Amino acid sequence: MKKTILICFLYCYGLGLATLNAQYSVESIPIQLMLNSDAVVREYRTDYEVVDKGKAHYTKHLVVTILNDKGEELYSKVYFDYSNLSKIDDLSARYYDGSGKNKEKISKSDILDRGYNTGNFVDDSRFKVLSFPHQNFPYTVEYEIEYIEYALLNFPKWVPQTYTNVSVQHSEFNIKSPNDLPVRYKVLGKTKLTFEEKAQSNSKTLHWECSNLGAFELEPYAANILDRVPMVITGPTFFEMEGYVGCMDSWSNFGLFFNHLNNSRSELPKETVEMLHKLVADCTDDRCKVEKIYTYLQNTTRYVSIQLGIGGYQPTPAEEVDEKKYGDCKGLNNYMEAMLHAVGVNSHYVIVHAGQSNPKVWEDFPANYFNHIITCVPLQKDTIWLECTSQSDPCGYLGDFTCDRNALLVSPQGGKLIHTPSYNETVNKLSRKGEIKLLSNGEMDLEVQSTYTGISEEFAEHLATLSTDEQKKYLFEILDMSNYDIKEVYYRKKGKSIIPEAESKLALKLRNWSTKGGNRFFFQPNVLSRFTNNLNTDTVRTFDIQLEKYGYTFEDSILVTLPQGYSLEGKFTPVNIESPFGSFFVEVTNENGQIWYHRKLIVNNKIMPPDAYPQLVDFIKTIVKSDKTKLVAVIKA
Amino acid sequence: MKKHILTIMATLYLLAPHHAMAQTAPIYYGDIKAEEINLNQYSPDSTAPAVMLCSYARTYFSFEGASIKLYYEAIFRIKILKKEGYSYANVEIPYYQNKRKRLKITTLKAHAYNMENGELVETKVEKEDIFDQKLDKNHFLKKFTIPKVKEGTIIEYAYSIKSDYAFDLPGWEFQKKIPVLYSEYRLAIPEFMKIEFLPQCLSANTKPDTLPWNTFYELGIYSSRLLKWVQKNIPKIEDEPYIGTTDSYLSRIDFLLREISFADQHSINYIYSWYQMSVDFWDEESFGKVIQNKKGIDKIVDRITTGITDEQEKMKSIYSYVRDNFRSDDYYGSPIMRQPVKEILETKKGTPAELNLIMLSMLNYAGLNAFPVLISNRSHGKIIEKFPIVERFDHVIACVVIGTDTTMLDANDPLRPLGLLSEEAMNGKGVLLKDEGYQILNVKNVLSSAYDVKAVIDVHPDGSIDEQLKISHQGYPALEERHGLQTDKFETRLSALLKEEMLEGKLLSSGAENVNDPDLPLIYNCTLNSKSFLQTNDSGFLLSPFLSLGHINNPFNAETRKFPVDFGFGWDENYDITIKIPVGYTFTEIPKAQSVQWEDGSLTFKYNIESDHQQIRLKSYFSNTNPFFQVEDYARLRAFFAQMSDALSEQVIFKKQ
Repeated sequence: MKKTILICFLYCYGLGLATLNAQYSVESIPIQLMLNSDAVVREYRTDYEVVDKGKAHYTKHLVVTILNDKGEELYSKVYFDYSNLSKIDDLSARYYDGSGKNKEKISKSDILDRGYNTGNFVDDSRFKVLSFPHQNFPYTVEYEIEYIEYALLNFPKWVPQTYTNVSVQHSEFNIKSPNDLPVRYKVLGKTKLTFEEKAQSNSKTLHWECSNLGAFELEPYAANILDRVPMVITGPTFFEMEGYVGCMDSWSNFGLFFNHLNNSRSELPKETVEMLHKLVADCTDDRCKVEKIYTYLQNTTRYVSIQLGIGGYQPTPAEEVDEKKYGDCKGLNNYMEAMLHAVGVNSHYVIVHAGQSNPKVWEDFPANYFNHIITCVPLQKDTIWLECTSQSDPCGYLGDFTCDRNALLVSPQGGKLIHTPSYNETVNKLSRKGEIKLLSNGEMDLEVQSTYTGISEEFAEHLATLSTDEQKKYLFEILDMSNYDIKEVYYRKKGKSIIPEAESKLALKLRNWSTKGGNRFFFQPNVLSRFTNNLNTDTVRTFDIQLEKYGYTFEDSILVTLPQGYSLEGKFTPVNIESPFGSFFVEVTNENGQIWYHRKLIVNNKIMPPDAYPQLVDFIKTIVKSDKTKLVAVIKA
Repeated sequence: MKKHILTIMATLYLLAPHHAMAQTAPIYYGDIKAEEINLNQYSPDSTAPAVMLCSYARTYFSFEGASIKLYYEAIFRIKILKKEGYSYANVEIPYYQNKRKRLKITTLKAHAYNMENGELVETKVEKEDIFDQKLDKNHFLKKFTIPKVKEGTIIEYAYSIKSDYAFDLPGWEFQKKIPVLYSEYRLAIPEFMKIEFLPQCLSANTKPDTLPWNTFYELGIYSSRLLKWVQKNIPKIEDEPYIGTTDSYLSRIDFLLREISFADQHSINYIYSWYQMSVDFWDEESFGKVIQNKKGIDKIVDRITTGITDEQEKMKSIYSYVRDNFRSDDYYGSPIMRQPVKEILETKKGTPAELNLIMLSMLNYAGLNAFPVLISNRSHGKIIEKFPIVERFDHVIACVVIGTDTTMLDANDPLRPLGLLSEEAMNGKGVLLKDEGYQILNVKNVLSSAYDVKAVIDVHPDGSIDEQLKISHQGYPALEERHGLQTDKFETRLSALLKEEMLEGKLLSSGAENVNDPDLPLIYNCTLNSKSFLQTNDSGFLLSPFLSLGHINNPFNAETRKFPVDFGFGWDENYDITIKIPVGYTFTEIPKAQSVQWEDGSLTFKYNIESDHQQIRLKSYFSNTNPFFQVEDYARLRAFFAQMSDALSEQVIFKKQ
C-alpha cells in the first residue's frame, strides 16, 4: 500500500517535471522578483506524509535560478544532514542554463558522503554534499530529496523564504496524515497564503501555497525579522520514537513524554548518596544544599557531547554520569536532579533552546523548539536556575545562553511552559573609575579600574583565563589606538553572588593621544568607552528596531590631571538625553582644582517601530560626537 | 609518486621484530611519579590550563611476509591544572586506509589518575567508550574521552600503530598548545635505510643521541642504529599577527627516507633530486600530462585567441577566460589534479590547483612559454629548499615568460587582476618546473599594491567643510575592497570608510569606477559636506586631515615579537591632501615635514608640507618593498610605524585673524 502511493507519486511527479522545464527560463521570472535578488526560488515544495506514529516520508523539491556570485554561494553547494533517525531515501539533482533547457543530471557518485567532526564529540549524524557545476549567470539548479523520518517529535516547518535578497516565485507545502494522527499547525507572518484541506478516505492532506514574494534586505538592529516572511509550523498530536510514545497536543502532554524518557534514570549508588548527605549536613535550608551540590557538580564533572540515536533525547543514567564524571546536557542535568533528590530537594528538568540567537517559542503551539537542558529548583521564596554544563557560572545564573526565553519545564505531572529570568541594564554593567594624567611632554598616563557584572562580565571572564601576555595581545588588537604601552593589566573573577562579577585594572602609557598646538594640548578624556558609529543615516527603515538584545549600563568616572601650570580652556558641552533606546549623560566638572569626566550610557532592549529610526540615529550621533570631543589644556597666563 | 613496495625482499628474509629498543624508556605507562601528582601549578606559565608531563614515541621497522612494516608507539601523559584544560581529556587519533594499504591502530589504552583519600586511584576508558568515526572513504578517527577528570587529574593514553606505509615516516611535535615538560622521540634506523632529518625550531645545539647499534632482526643480518631527540620545558606555541602559520615555528622534527640498500642488492633511492622531481611531475598523468593536453581545450583557446598575435594579449585572454568562467572551491592540499580534465571543463569547477593546470594547458597550447611553479600556501608552511618533498607543496601557479618579462598567474578568484596572486600564495619561494630542470625562485606579483588618496578639503568659517575625495585602490587593497563590494553596497562601504566625516555629513555625490573590471584600479570618488569633521573651540578649528583616510594605527603595538614579520608582499600608500584655509582665518599649527628611509630602501616614509595664505598641502608617501622582517628588526619596524602614525595624527589648527 505504502509503496504504491510512493511510486504513483513519483510517476506523476516525473510527468510534471517534463512539462515544467520550459518554465525555468530566466525570461519567465516576473520582473519584480529580480529586484535586489541574488537568486530566485522558482519552486519550493515540501511534502510530508505521516505513515504511522513512528515513520514519515519527507520530500523537499527546490528549483532556484542563481543570478550572481552571492546567489551561487547560497545555493550551489548544498549539505544534507542525516542520521539513524532521519535517513535519506533518495537524492537527485539536475541543472539548467539560463534558457531553462535541461542540461544535465548530477550522477549519484558525484554526491559526497561525509562524517561530522564538529559540534558533538561523538554522534551518528553524517551529511551528503551536493555541488552544482558553475555556469555563466544566470542558471538554474534543482534537487529533490526524500527522507524517511523516525523521530516524529520533529515535524517540518515550512519557510518559503529563508534568505534575505532571495525572491520566491512559487512555493507549496503539503502535509498528509491518517485521520487518527491529526496534524496540528500554526500559520505565521502577514503574507496571504492559499490554504486547502483535502479529505481522503482515511487520511487528510493540508495544503498551503504562495507566489511571488519579492526579495528584501536586512537592516541594522532589525527586530521581529520573522514577521516579514510567511511560515507554517506543524506538529504531531501523537508520535513514537524508538518505542517511546508521546502526545504533543499540549505542553503538559509533551512534557510527560520527556518525563517518561527520563524514567528510572535517576538512581545513584549508595556511597554517592551518603557522600551527598555528608556534604549538606551543615545546611539549614535548601538554598545551601543546592549551592553545595552545584559546586560539587561543577568541580567534579565536565561536559562532553555524545549523541547516538535516542541518546540524542534521553539522558545517560545518573549512575553512569556519577561513575564517569562526564556527560552531555541531558546527562549532567539529570544527574544534578538525582543528587538534589537524594538530599530532599525537588527540582525540574527544563528543556530550552540555547544560544544567543534566542529563537521564538510560540506559547500556543507546543512543538520541539529545543536543543538544551537546564535545571530549575523551585524554593519557597524564589527559584534557582542552574546551567549544569558550565564549570564556572555562579549558582543561579543562566547568562545569555539560556536567559529570557520560553522553555518547557518537565515534571511527573506534565510539562509547563515557563520563562527563564532575564538580565537587563540594571544587571549588565561596566563601571570604570580612574585617572588620566597629561604630562608636560604631551604623553598621557591612564589608569583605570573596572567592574563588570552580568552579561557584560562574560568578556572579562574570558580574558581572566588568559595569561598577561595574551591579555595584552588581545587588547592591542581591540583598542582602536596606536603608539601606546600597556604598563599593567589584569582581569579576574570576583565574588560569589548570583550575578557574575569580575574586575580588571588597566594602566596605559599613551604617547600620541594628545596633540600640541602652541601653548595648548588637545585630547579626548574618553579613551576606553568610545562608542563607534556604523549607522547608515540615509536609508529607509522597514524593520522594527532593537539596539541591543540585552540592555546594559556603562559608567565612567575619570579624574583628569593636567601638568603644573596648565588649566582647562573652553567649556566641554555636557549632554543629558533620554531616548526610547536608552539614555546618555556626560559632563566635565572643574571644581576645587579637580577636573572630572563623568559619563553614563544606558542602553535598553526595547523594540521600537521603524519610524523611531531617526531617534536612533540621533541618539547614536550624539554619543559618538560627544565621545570624540577633546579637552583643551592651556598654559595659564 | 615514486613509492615502490619492496617485494624483492620478501623471499630473502624471514624476520620478526623483537626488543627493538632495549634502552630504558623515559616513561612507563601507569608509572606515575610523586612529583607529577604534586605539581599543582606550572610556574613559568601560571595560566596554563594543562601541561604535557611527558610525550614519548618511538618508530621502528620490521618485516611481515612480503613487505616492510612501520611500527609506531606513543605515550602521552598530561596534568590537568584548570577547568579550561578539560578538553585535553577528549582525544582524537586520525588514521588512514584504502583498499590496498592500511594504517592500523593495534592497541589503545587510556586512564585517569586521581588522588582519593591519599591514594592514587586509576580509572580506565572502557572499550565500549572508544568510538570509531568514518570521515570519508579513507579517513577515520578513533575518539575517546577520559572519565573522572577534574582539576589535578593526570590523564594518560598510549597507542600503537602498524602501518603499511612504511616509507611515510611520521614526524614528531615536541611543542604543543600547552607547555611540555619533557618530550622524546626515538627512531630505530635499520642499516639498510638512510634517512634525512628535518628538524625545525629545536632548542640550540640539539643533536640526536646515537645509541649503540642494536641487533634489530633476529633472523636477519642487519642491525640498526637508534637515535633519540629530547626537548625539555618547551613553552606553549602562541600565535602572532603577520605570520604564515604557527606550524612554521613549532618545535618539531620530520623525516625523509633517502635510500634503501642491501649489501647484495641495488640501492633504491627514495629521495628526489629537484631535477628528478621535475621530470616525474612532467611525466605525471595528473600534472605534466594535463599541461601538455590539448583535448577539450584546443577549440576554446582557438576561439579566445582568434586574431591575437601579441603574446602578452594572448596570456591575458587565457587568464581572463579561466578566471571569469571557472570557479574554485577552497580546497588546497595538493598541486595535482583530483578530477579528470573533462570533468572540470564540464562543471567549470575545480580546486585552485586544477584551474591553474587547465590554464597552463591553454597557455601551452597557445604556444606561450609557460611553466608550473609549485608553491606552499601561507597556511601550509614554508617549503624546504634543501630537499624536494612533494607533501610540502599544496598549490601550483603558472609562470609565463615573454621576452624578458615574467608573469605569475593564479586564476582562482574572479575578482583578481592579471599579475596578482592570492595572498595565501605570497609565501616566499616556489619551484619552477621545466621540461629539463627546475628553478627555485621568489614568488612575486607583477602588479604592485597601492592605496592612493587625493583630497581637497574646503574649510568654511562656520566650521563645516566641503571635501572632494578620490581613492584609488590597486592590487591587494583593490581586491579586498572588491570582495567587500560582493556583500555590501558601494554606499555602505564608502560610509563605513568615511565614518568620521559622515557622522554629521552628507554625501553630495559619489561613484565608483572599474568595479566590474578587476584588471583596472578600483576608484572611489565622492564629494561631501560635513559639520562635525572639525572640532571647534573658543580660539578656532582643529582639523585632523587623516582622520578616517589613513591607515594610521600602528599594527605593531606589542613590545616584543617571537617570530619574524611576514607581510607576504610590499605595498605603497600615498596621500595628497589640500586644505583650503577659511576666509578670515590663519593656521597656527601644521604638521611637521619629515622623511625616514631604511638604508636597504625597504621602508620609506616621506611627509612633505607646503603652505601659503590660501592653502596647505600635505603629501605623505609610504612604501614597503620588503615582505619579510626578521625578529631582530622588530623594534625598528615598530618604531618606524609609530613615527609614521604619530606624524599622520598631527593636526592643523586654525585661528581667527
